[in-house]
Amino acid sequence: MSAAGGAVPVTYDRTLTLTYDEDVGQVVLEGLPCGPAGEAALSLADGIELFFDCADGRLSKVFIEAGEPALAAVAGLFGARACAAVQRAPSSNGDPLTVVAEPQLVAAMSRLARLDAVRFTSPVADSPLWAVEAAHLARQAGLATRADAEARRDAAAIAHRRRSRSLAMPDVAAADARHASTSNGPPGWLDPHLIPPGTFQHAVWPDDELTIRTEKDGILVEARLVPGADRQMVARCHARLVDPGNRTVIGTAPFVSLGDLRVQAEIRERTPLSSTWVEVVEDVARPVSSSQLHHIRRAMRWAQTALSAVRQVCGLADAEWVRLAADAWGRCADDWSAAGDQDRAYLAAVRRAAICPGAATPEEPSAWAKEVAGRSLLIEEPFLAERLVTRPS
Amino acid sequence: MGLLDDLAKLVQDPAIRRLAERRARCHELAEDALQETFRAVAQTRNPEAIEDLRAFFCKSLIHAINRQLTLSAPIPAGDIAAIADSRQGHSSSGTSPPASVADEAHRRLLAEAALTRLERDRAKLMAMVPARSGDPRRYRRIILAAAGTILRLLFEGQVTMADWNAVLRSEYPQLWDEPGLAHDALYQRVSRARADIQLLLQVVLPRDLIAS
Repeated sequence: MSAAGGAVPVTYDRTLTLTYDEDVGQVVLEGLPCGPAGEAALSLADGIELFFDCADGRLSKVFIEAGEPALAAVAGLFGARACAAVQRAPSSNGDPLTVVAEPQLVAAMSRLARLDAVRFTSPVADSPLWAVEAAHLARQAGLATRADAEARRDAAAIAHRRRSRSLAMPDVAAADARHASTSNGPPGWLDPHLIPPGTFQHAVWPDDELTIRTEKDGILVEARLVPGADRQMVARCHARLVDPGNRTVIGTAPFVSLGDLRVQAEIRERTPLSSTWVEVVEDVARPVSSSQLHHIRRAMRWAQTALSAVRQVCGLADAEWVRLAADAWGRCADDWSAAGDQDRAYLAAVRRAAICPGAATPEEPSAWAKEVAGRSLLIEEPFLAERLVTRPS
Repeated sequence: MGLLDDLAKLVQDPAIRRLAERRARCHELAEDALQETFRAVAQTRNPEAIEDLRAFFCKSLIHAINRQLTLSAPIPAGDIAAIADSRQGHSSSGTSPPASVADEAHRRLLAEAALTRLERDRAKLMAMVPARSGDPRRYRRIILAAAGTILRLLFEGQVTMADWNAVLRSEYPQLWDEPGLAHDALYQRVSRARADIQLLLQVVLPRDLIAS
C-alpha cells in the first residue's frame, strides 16, 4: 500500500467537452466516464449539478440548465470565459472547453459529494460527525446555506442519538461475524435506492447486511434497525424474493420485530431459482429492476466498501483493512463483469492489483479505461465518522 | 383517460423507447429507466401542473438514465453566492470559522471513541473500580454508568464539578441519603466516587478533555 507516501489529492481535468443536449435543453461538460465506484453528485444551485468520480475524486461531468443561478455558479466556479462558452453552447456543441477552478475548492466539493454518497450506507450512518464534516466542507466549498443546513442536521442527530440512547457505536464486527456464519439463502443486501434512509443498519461488508436463511417452508430474512428507527417506516418495508432475469416478484413478506433491533420477514416460497435475489423495499409495488442493474448497484456498493477500507489504511498500515479492500475490489470486479461492463470490471481489477501485488488484471478493454487506470490513486484520510468503524472479523 | 393510462402509452411509444435505448446504450438499462420514470411521474404530487406530459416524461427519462451510475441524489445546496469569494480566498460564511469546526469535530471524535471503549471494555473497566461499598458489584456498575453519562455530557460541551455531582446524585442517590451520615464523611464518599469515575475516564480519554 502506498499510503506511507502520504495523501494523493483530488485532481480535475482542465479540458472538458462541452455538449448541448437538445432533448432536455441542458449543457453538459464532460470528462472521462466514471470508474468502478460510480459517481457522486453535488448540487451547487438550481440548475447545476457536479458529478465526481467516487474512486479518484475527479470531476467527471457537469449538468447545467438555463437560468441565472446556474450561470452565476459556472462563472463563480470556472470563471467568466467558461460562463460565456456555456451561454453559446447550442452553437459550440462538441467543442473542448478549458476550465480553471481553484483546486482546493474543487477538492472540497469532491469530498463533500462523496461524503453525501457514502454517509447513508455507512455502519455509523447516524453519527453526528457526518454533519460536522459536511458543514466544514460546505464552508470550504463556499456553500453557506448547505453549511448552515448541516449544522442544523448535526444538532438534530445529537438529539436523536440522545433520545435513542445510542451514543455508543454498534458492534459492527460482532454483527458481521454473526451474519456471515448464518446466511445460506440467495444473495441480498440493503440497496439504499430501495429503502428509506436511517432505518436499516448497514454493515461494512454488504453481504452481512441481511441474514438470509432457506428453511423448509420458505426464506427467512433478518435485518437490523438503527437505534431509534421510525417503526411506522419499518412497517411499510417488505422483504422480496425477486428474479431480476425476468423482472418478477416471487414472494414478499412484511417485517416483524424480534423484540430488539432485529426484524425478520418470512417469505413463504420454497426452492428459489439460482438467479433470485432478496431485496428490501419501501414500496412493495416497485417494479423489479434488471439483473444488470442489480449487479451495477452492488458493484458500486462493493467499491464503497473497498474505498472505505483503503481510507482506513491511509497513514496506518493495517493488513486486515488491506485484505478487506482487496476482497471488496474483487467482488466489485465480479459484479461489473456480470453486468457486462468489462471496462469497469477491468478498473476494479486494477485497483485490486494496486493493493494486492501479484493479482491478475485483464487486458484493458478500451482507451478511456486505460487512461483512467493510469492515473494516480486518490489517497485520503477517512471521513471523520468512518474512524469509528470497526473492521469485520 | 387517466394519468396512468397516458404514462403506459408513453412507455410503449416506439420513439420514446428508441430515445431510452440510445441514451442508455443497453436494452435492459433502458427498460429500467422507463420503469423508474413511469413510477416517478405517476407519484408526482401535482400531475395537473404538468403542461406537456410527453416532454416532462422524456426529460425525466433522460434524468434517470444520466443517474444510473450515481450513488445518491444530491442534497440541494441552495446558494452559490460565496463561491466567488472563496476563489479569492475570502471567508465564505458568517458562521463559525473552520478551525472551531475542526476542534469541535475532534472533541466529538474523541468522546465517541471513548464511549465505544467504555462499552467494549466494560468488564475490564469494572474490575479497575475499587470495592468501596457493601455491594461492590453494584457500586462498580453505578460508577461505570456515571462515567458514561459524564462522557455524553463531554460530547455536548464543557462539564463542570457541579455537573459531576449532579450525575452522581442521579445515578447513586443512596450516596447522599444515608441517615446520620456526617458532612465530612459524605464529602469524602463523593470525592472518592468522583475519583473512581475520573480513573475510568483517564483510561478511555486523553487527560485534557476531563474538565472539572
